This record gives sequence, structure tokens and C-alpha cells, in this order.
Amino acid sequence: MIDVNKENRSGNSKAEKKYVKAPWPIFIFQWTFIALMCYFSAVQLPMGPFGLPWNTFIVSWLSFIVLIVTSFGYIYYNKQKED
Amino acid sequence: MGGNQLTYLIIILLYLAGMFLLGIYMSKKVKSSANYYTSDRDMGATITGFSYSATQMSAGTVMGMPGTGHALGYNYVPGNFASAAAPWFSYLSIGERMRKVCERINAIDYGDVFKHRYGSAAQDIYSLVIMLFYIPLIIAQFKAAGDIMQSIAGVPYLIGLFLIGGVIIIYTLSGGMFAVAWSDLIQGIIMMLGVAALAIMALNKAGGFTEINHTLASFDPRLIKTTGFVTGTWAVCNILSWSFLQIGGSASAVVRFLIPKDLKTLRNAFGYSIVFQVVVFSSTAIIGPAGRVLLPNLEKTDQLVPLLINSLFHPIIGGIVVSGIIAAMMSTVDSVLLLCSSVATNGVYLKYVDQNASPDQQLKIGRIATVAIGLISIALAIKPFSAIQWMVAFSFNVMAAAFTVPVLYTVWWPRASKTGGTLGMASGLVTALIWYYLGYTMFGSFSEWPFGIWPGIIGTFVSFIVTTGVSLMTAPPDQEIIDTFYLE
Repeated sequence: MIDVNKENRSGNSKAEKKYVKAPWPIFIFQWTFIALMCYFSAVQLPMGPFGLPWNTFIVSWLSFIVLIVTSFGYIYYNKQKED
Repeated sequence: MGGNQLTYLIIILLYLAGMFLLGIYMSKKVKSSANYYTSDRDMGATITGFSYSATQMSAGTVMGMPGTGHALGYNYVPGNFASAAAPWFSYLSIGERMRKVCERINAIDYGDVFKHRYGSAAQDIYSLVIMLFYIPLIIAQFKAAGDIMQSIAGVPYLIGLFLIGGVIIIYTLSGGMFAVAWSDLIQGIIMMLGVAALAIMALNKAGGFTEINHTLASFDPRLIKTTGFVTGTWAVCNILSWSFLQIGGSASAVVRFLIPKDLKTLRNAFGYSIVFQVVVFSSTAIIGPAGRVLLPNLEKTDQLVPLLINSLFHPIIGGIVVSGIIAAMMSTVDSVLLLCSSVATNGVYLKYVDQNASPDQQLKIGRIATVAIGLISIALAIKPFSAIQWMVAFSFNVMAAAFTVPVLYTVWWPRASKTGGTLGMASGLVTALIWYYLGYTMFGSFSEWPFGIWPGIIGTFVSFIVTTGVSLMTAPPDQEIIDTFYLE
């Protein structure tokens, strides 16, 4: 096993060690979005745009747009944080 | 051989020659077993992102998905979206932590990670599952490659199989992860441009979105629904499996988190992966329904993509698109081959045969394993057993059930114990296998299961209960393990 304290030289006592915390905001966002997609996959809604039912439109085309926009939002947020 | 077939063949041969030369060139960079499998952890964001996604996409993505879309219409499109969302789960849920942990323990795959986190038995389960369930996936891709060479380029099945199989083995053997990652980038770009061009042409020829959807509804109103031919439970399992379960089910793709030079590069690689996946999976989602409108009476849906290429493109462009389909297979096979080789070397040879092997010996063993696994897979693909395509979904479900929860806990839950992690892995694996058995005894099919719940989903659920419950009932891991895996 390697000496991880090499990466934590700021303090050597056990009390000062900083442990990782699960990224709950990301988990909650992921699962809310996926839960919505599951819901729209399983229900039947009235006809919407492009000759498709609303739920088909949401879970097929709209979801791709949300995916790419939120992903780049995440990358942009991290870049701003780093700068 | 017709004029189109000859043009396709020339372009495919040029592409294969390029891959061959790439492998020879990259062989100069290979110095040791460690850099053979991880490329010195020095890759850039573009290569990492494309390599992750190209590995995840296979013949099933570019041939199978449009074919299923032809048969089921929009019923399968949520699966396309879920596959495109896979990086969302793998990169954002485990990517950065896994990269950090692997660097600390100098791991080259999940097997190393499991050994340090949960103990030797967990690594053995991992090695067993990879060797048992990934080799059928290589065989299935080889078979698809032989079939495509036969149906599109007019080359006899065996010649196509040996040609493509041989090139993959040579460049993986020579250049290891360097060749695999670079070839994935090239293959990924060809694949992305190919399927996007096919989608645009098919969409245009079929009259646009609204026209396609109206025509589909006139054929059968179920084609434009998400649950016309499938149940709501099936639709939910479809989304969960192809998005969240990729964490455990795509071990060969997730090892890409070990190759970028730093965490910032990994984060940027996520952007490339998302773009690549959205383009490919939205394109395949268009090709299926558009293909149904253009070729409504197709008997074998697997033939949809070859027929569309023949009818929509000039032979030279068609040849490039066909190369994109072959690229999809090759990018999966090279990565799986390399992973199986690392398991054979690291999880079997170094563990049970010679623990003191020198770096040179380790590299030699790795290369011998690559050739041996590749040749065995080619030999088995000469006359593949009939259930080979079914084995692809089977291997994904089994691996997802075994690994997803233990992997997540490896980076986020310090309380997960050695016994909990090992039993969680074993219970997920056994549950998925039992679920397949129950489905077969109840419905006489390996594609139908009790309550319509997919084996990967039920296996992951049981693995979650067992890993969590057993961990809380047994002693927590040593402080050294907690520090290694969970210190920031």
C-alpha cells in the first residue's frame, strides 16, 4: 500500500486528515433526471410535436438536448472553479 | 464481386492497413507491462474521451440498434438515450475518484482495485467473470465482422474473420494501450462521421421527422409509442441498464479512467465522450425509424444498415461508412482483448504462477496472453454457437450485477468491509445467473424474465442489499485501507 500521507503533508495527525465526501448534489441530479426519463418511458401522453406523443418526444429527442447542455454546463462550472 | 463491393473492399483494406501500421509504430513506446496496459497514464482528453466511448460501442450499436429501431420503432429509442447518458454515470459517479485511487495503488484494472479494497477472493471473482463472460463478447464481434465482410464486401466469411481478427491481434499485441487508445480515436471519428452521415441521408430521403412519424403511425400506431410493443417495466429496465449499470457492466471502457495525464484531462475527456455518444446514439435512433419508412418490408433487420449504405451513398463514401461499422467492432474487441490479457497476467499468472516475474517477463506474458486469447476467440468464431449474440447481453448483465455496487462503494463508502464487498459481488453474480435460469424455465427463453425485470437490475439490487448489510454486520476495513481509498 502506498504512503498516502505524502499527499496530505499539511498535517500529520489523524484528526486533520480530510476524507472524501460523496457528491450528493450530482447523484441527486442524475437520479432525478433518470427517474423522469423512466416515468416518461412508461406512461402514455397525448400527441405533441413532430407527430409524436409528448412522452416519446421528451424521452427521445428532448432528453439528448438536456444531456448535452447539462454536461457542458458541468464542464464550464468546473473550469470557472479552477480558474 | 460487384463494382460497389470492390470499392468497399479497397477502402476497408486501406483502413486495416492503417490500423496495422499504427500498431507497429506504437510498439516503440511499449517499455513495460505497466505502460503496456495503461500507456504511462499520459493520454490527452480527446483520446481518452473517444477511447472510452468507442470501446463502449460495438457492432450492436451500429447494426443492432438501427435494426431494433426498424422492428420496434420508438419503443427502443429510450435505450439509445440511456446509452448516450452512460458517461454521466461512469465519469461523474466514479471517474475522478477511481483515477486517484488507481494512481495511489498503481492499479491497472478493477482486479487490482478489488484486491486492495476487498481482498484476494474479490480479485479472483473479478478474474473469473472477465475471462468467462468477455471472451464470448470478442467471439460475437469477430462473427459480426466476418458477416459484414461477406455481405457488404463479398469476401468469404473465413477470410474476413482472419483478416480483421489478425489485424486487431497484431496492433494490440504490438502497441498495447498506446495502439488501442489511438486506434479508438481514429475508429471513433470514422464511426461518428459514418453513422451521422447515414442518419442525415436517411432522414432526408424519408421526408423529415414529422413525415417519418406520420408514416410510422399509419403502419402501426404502436411504433411511435415508447411502450407499444414492450411493457413499462421493460422500458424502465432498458434505461437503468444502459445508463447506470455501465459502471459495472463495461469494465473494459472504465479502465480508460486510468490513462489520462491528470484529473483536469479526465474532466475534459467527459465532454468529448458526451458529444461522441450523443451524435452516435441519436443518429442510430434516427436510422431505425427512417429505415422502416424507406424499407418497410425488410425480413432481416440486421440487413438494414448495409442496404441503406448501398442505396444512399456513392461507393467511396459508402466504403468509409462501412469502415466505420467495422471500426465499431474493432474498437470494442481491442479493448476487451487488452483487458482479458491484463487479467490473465495480473490476476492469474503473477498471482498463482510466478509472483517474482521481472518486468520484462510480465510484458512477455501479457503479449502471449493477448495472442492466445485472440487466437482462441478467432478459432471459436469459425463456427460460433448459435446463442453467441445472446451471450453479449448476458455478459453485460452478469458483470453489471456483480461489479456495480462494489465499485461504487470502493470510492464512496469507507464502511464497506472486505466480506461485504466480496459477498456483494458473488451475490450479484449468482442472482443474475439464477434470474436467467428462472426466465428460461418459466418462458423457455433467455430474453424473458420473471416480472419482466432484467437480470442486471435484480442482481444489482441484491448485491446492494448484501454488500451493505454484511458490511454493517462485519468489522470495518483497516485504517490503512480507508486512508488509501478515501483520503482526499
